[in-house]
Amino acid sequence: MRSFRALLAKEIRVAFRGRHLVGVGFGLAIVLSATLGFSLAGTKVGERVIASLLWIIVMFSSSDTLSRSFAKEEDEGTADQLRLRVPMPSVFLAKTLANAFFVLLIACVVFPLLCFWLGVRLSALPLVGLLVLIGCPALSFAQGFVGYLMSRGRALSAAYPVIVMPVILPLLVCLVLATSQALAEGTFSINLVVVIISESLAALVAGLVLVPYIEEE
Amino acid sequence: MLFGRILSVLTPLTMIPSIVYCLMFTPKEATMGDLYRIIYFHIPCAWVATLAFFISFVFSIAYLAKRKPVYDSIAHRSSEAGLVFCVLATITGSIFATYTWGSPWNWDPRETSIVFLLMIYIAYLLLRWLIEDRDKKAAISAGYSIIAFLATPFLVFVMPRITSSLHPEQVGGLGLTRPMLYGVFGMLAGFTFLYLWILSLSQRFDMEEI
Repeated sequence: MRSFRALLAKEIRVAFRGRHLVGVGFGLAIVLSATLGFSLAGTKVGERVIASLLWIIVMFSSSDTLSRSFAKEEDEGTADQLRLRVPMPSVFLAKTLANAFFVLLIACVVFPLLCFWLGVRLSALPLVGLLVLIGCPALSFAQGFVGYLMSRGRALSAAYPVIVMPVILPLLVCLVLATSQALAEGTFSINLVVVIISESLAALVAGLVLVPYIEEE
Repeated sequence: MLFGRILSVLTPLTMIPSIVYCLMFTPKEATMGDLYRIIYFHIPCAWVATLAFFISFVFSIAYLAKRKPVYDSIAHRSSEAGLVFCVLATITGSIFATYTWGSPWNWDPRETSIVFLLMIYIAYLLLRWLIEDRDKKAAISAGYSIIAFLATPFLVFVMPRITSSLHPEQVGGLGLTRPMLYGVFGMLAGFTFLYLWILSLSQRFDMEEI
């Protein structure tokens, strides 16, 4: 548990010191939100479109932070040290949780910007905020294991979005549906939230179980 | 080998009479006439695709547990076969949708689900294609197949039930009579044997290579 906490703290520290999260993650989120805000200025944008834009920007801005984090350990030669000292499922969990935190931070940038530029009703904000709180860790858990797999092969990083997208698409669709309901009707289907939580937890647990088997290779 | 020979006899023995029965001896459907007969191909294709992806999932788990190349080969070939049947289910579904709902594509939850399934297994094959080392390819793709299959129950069973659908079973049932159901079951058996035959043939080629 102590090594897990230390690893989680290290992940967060390293991400803030490095250039990728701030430069690419936040940068991409702001540029994409501003571009879309400018492109759609003066037009009436439906709730479904706003919800889709929100989650697509969050997903693309944070898509490769996790696989990059695993790959960095391999590149710097620290991965073997890590394997010797900490059980691999703990490493996987720490990196996935740190990534969930980064995705949430990126969403905290994208969400107010989009709401401001696209004129979202203020009354819908608490519910959408709740969905962002549920959805960001869910997205991170769902793509965690694929991010880990991608770091195992050299040629795979370029294909990451193509390979991870189909796995998280059902989750993304549920998030878009729930968010658009929250924006339009001020409520959302609890079934959608159940699907979001159960699918992401299933992916996280499967990842934790499978990591040692992949490590054997 | 023997399994393949048995399937090479069983497949035509079930498929040919079933096709003849479905096209010539089953009655016309009250509202759709002869158009409904496409379901004799659409339902078995969708069933076999789901079965193939499930078998790929099971053998991926078996590969990670035992590390036998034959399990990786079955998982891989089953995904390929599943993808072919998934494409056929999409095409037959689109033909049916054109005449019943007026458009080949309506973003119905089941249509959306099948697109997601196609994307998942295209990504799986892309992943295998990108890795050259045989052991690494087998282990990584087995992991991906397992995590990808976890999305399948949500796509096939959950999504169509939590969102409104145009599909017949959601809007009053298929309305099939007993002779029509015999046709559907015959075709289901025929397509299942065909899939198993394809799987045994392609897997035999792999084993010869190894």
